[in-house]
Amino acid sequence: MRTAPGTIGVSSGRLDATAKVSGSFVYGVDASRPGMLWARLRRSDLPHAEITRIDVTRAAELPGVRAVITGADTAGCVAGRYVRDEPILAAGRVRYRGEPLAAVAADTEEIAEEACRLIDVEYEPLPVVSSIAEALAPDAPLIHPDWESYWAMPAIRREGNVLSRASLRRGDAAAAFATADRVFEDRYETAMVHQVSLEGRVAIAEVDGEGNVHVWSSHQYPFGLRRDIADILNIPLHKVRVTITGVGGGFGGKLYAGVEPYCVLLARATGRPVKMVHTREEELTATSPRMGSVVEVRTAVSADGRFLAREGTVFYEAGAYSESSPGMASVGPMILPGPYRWEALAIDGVAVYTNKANCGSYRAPGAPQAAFAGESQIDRIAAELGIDPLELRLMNAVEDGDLGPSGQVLEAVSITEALRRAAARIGWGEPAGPNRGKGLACSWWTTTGMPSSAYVQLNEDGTFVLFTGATEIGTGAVTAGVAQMCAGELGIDPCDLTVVSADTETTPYDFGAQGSRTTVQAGAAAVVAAADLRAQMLEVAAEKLGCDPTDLVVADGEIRHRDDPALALDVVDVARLGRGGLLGRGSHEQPPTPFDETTVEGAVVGVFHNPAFAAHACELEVDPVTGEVTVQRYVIAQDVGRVVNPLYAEGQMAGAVVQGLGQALYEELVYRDGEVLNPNLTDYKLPTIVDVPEIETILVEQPSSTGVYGTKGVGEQGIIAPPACVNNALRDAVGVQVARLPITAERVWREMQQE
Amino acid sequence: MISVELRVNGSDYRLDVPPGAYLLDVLRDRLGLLGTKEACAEGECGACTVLLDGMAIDSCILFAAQANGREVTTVEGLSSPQHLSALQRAFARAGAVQCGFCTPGFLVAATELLERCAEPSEAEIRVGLAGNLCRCTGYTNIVAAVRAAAEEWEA
Amino acid sequence: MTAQAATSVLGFHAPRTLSDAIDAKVSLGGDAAYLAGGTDLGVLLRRRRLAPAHLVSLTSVPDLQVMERRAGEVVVGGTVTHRRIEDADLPEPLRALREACSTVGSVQTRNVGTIGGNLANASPAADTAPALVALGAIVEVAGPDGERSVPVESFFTGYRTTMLGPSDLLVAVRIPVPARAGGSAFEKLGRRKAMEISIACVAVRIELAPDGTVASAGIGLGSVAPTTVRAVEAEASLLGARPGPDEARRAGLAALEACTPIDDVRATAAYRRAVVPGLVARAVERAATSAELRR
Repeated sequence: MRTAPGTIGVSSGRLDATAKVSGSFVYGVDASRPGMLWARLRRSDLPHAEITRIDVTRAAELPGVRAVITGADTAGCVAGRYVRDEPILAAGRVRYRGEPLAAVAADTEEIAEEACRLIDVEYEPLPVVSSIAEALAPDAPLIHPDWESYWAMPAIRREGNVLSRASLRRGDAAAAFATADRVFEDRYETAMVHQVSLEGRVAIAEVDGEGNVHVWSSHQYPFGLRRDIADILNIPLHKVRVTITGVGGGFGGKLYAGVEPYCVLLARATGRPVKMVHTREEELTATSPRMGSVVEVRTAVSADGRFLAREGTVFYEAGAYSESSPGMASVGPMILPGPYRWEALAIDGVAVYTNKANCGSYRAPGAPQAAFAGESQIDRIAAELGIDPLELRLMNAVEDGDLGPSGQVLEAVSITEALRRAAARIGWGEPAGPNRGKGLACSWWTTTGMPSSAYVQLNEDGTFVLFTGATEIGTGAVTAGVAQMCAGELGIDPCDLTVVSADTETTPYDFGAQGSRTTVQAGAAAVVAAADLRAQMLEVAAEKLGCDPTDLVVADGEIRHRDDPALALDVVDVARLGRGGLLGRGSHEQPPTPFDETTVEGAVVGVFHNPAFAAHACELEVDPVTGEVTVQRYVIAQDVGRVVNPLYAEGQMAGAVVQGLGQALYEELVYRDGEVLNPNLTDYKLPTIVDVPEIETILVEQPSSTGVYGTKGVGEQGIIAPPACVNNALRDAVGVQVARLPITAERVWREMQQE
Repeated sequence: MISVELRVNGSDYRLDVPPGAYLLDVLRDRLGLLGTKEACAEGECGACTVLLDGMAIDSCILFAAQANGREVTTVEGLSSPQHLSALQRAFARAGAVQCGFCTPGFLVAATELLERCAEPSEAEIRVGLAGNLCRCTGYTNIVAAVRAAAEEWEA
Repeated sequence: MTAQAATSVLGFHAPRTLSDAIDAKVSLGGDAAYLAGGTDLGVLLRRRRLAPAHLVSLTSVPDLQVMERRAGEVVVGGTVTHRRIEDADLPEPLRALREACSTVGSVQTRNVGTIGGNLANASPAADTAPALVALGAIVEVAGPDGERSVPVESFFTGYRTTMLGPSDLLVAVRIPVPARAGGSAFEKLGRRKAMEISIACVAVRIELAPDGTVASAGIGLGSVAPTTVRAVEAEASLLGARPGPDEARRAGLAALEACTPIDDVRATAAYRRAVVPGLVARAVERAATSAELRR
């Protein structure tokens, strides 16, 4: 394993902090281009219908309107990386309330909005499919009658309203269930929730006279966005440039093309730059929420608490179009088993089309749904067997050398340490008091691999520039983590490094800020690039000094002979000797983790690479009159492999936990007949600062053999366990659990009434 | 159009604005003060918080006309370009800034908080900032930042 | 985002006297809306639920800003903000009002939101209304037809409707300060703990006779009927007895007589009925404990 330099493990400041606290940081919503027009979308009024007439005459005639496009203009512009099923403007059929039908560019946002109101649409309503059950009913209306004709990634198994079915089978579950001492069967439900980045989706597009497209977007994955724009709009990839602006939050909701294709088309139509900004209502009604779910789980155990087998299905409600849901369906079978040993597993993940906005990725997509079920049931098992929930988990927790659900050999396993430390911190075993309880929940998660590349350049003045395709979306992964790793390898202070990131024309490829990968993968690429540049510098210096590069050390802005300090060159001189062209290159792709491929079918996610583990513990109080839950303490112990920046690693953990508490207690998109009833922040309840306690973070370090310096992905995992952790503490407090998220006071009260 | 007089970050302006113009839009679109953000457009998230005669308010639902003849302070007015305020430095140091979109609103609201109460308890900090939503940090480091700034505060 | 002006608005008026305000509203007619703090109106215009052509701002009228203690009562002007009320040194028996004001929205809301605006908006979930009902407050109204006063529970005439005529405005709220040993308390239940429209809220005032029995009681309930309501049966159940846990419980159950809750996006009617007795009992006990301190 590579030795980590002194910048690793330090809570250095982030390079964008000053701009952000002074209010000068430019986000997508703050950006503008000269002569810019504003665009808005006309959206469907019905959740499922055929469009019988669409008339844009009145809109086009409104003074100040510069272009109007409809589905008739965008035939063949279809999105979908897993299943190509989403026309960017509906032409025949609309499949969710809020689906874009037309786009308008105008001199002001007000005029564009007014023009949208003047677009006349008539529909022939179709029966609305509002739930997983309705979608799977034998006589269910087909949301995509032409599903068979869609291009799809070969691994995806789909049929009718089933968008994707992933299966995991290992061992002989039937035998295990037949001979088990006890079998437990439960059903759980989770609601659709939304990322609610405070900055919604926004982009500006400009098309020049040669047809070159430049898009500025608040986005997580510039290279993916470029590919989407090129594919959807049939433009050669090299004629599309994507520059990421400052990003005010993403959480997975800004991984796919959103507003950008409309901006490009309208820019082309008008010859002017075009900007589109989502309203909060558009964000909450039509922008990639987390899939809702129904989880059926059956678990076989021995009388002394050994886990034998788990079977079941995680049904995901994916909404009207596929986006990332086909892939995320395969997360369910990986998460439902939890970080435990099993003799047999038989789990399906099934993503289903319904007439709601298409879901997308949201921090650990597919995972909280399954973990809510899996971890809540474990506490039910503990209660029924009379075993302490901590002991039950410790008894069954995986260790080094054990197999994961799909047969991968687990290494650097830390779940036992995480559990013990979290439990100790919460005071496990000490009684909590009347109407109070403590709960635990565990998780594990992947570190997404895929390629990252980087260049490091030596400036004339001896300073350095890192060019990375990675995207800083707020986590600090780039402006702290990757910068620290690169700076460390160069032997400089991170604040002396300039970072240029996330521009498809000026920075090399990166798979995007997703899957907890940025620090690990983009960091590794930056380290390789830095090392490469150092080597070049040493070569140049060695030639000049007449010695061997291995005799030289880099320190304090100098390259000097290790035995003769007088034999030295200033780095500035090395830059000049290199004619200003010294450029380090680095590429990295995490080696894939071997697993038993016979255990999974139809799965995009069949293994967790470079996995990490976490244990959560909380203490809460229940109001006996109202059922209201107050979380008094929350502890998260998460294995980060090797911490790069403790402050920002803990920041990810705390932030993820609070989003998880939001899903646990407060958040849900309330739908009725395909309409979102709470499309604003008054009625969609994010946790406020008074709703959550201080989040106590424990950094566990079990270095992996795959991540550079032993690093593992950090950002997503904290969101997986909180709903179950709360549910388990609830059981400890008042003897009941809620089988449905969010755990509202009313639902707690109802459960208490039934006891 | 109506005429509105504002003192913003110490500078006086007289602007002709539509009668229904909100203060947030005047600050951003007319005065180019982009630090104050819109995130919900209904006074529920605090990203648009500015000080009006020293009081923290949501500028997205306040008509510019309501601010006529009054003093407005935005995040840009909390410090000079050379010299960040105690709160700004504390936020940067304490890991209270991730994506940063909520940060201007928090800084302004925390400024009012510390002006009113130089040594707030954790509970008082949380109540004082309950009108500001953050989606990234989980709030823990924000509370720590305000605490740290309070120690340095000159009322 | 909807970064646009409220485009319907053609005129913004800032009269400096009460009569000027009323005259302006009368002459502008139905196309004008009074504007106090704007925390409700600003949102309604953003969402295009209302589109008045004119706004008549009331915050430049000094008469509406009074907050003072007069003989036996506290007078709070219509455009006094929730924050000012929170910060004022109100007599302890009026605690329910301070507690209610401190739960309205956030600091940002309370800094500009006004008590008059909160009442005139007439949401059945208005936080200050149950407290004022419990405290026996009187609302003073002025308009083109002159001035009049009504008990606050009569101020609300139906769902989001008040007895205010089109050009009437709420001038002040007068809250009696108990002569006897009095105490009050406010309880609010929401899905989260801040910036909430309540699922249910209750306020209770207790005044004790020298022998420790309840001489007078006021109970106001919010979010459990089309308007804020007074729980008259619950109040009566407390009279003449020492307010212990059993009496508090009984009053809580009696409060259900005044409730006609509905199912909505926040909670079901059944749940509201389930929690009201406990919340009322809790408020009764707190108010009684406070009153006892002054006996």
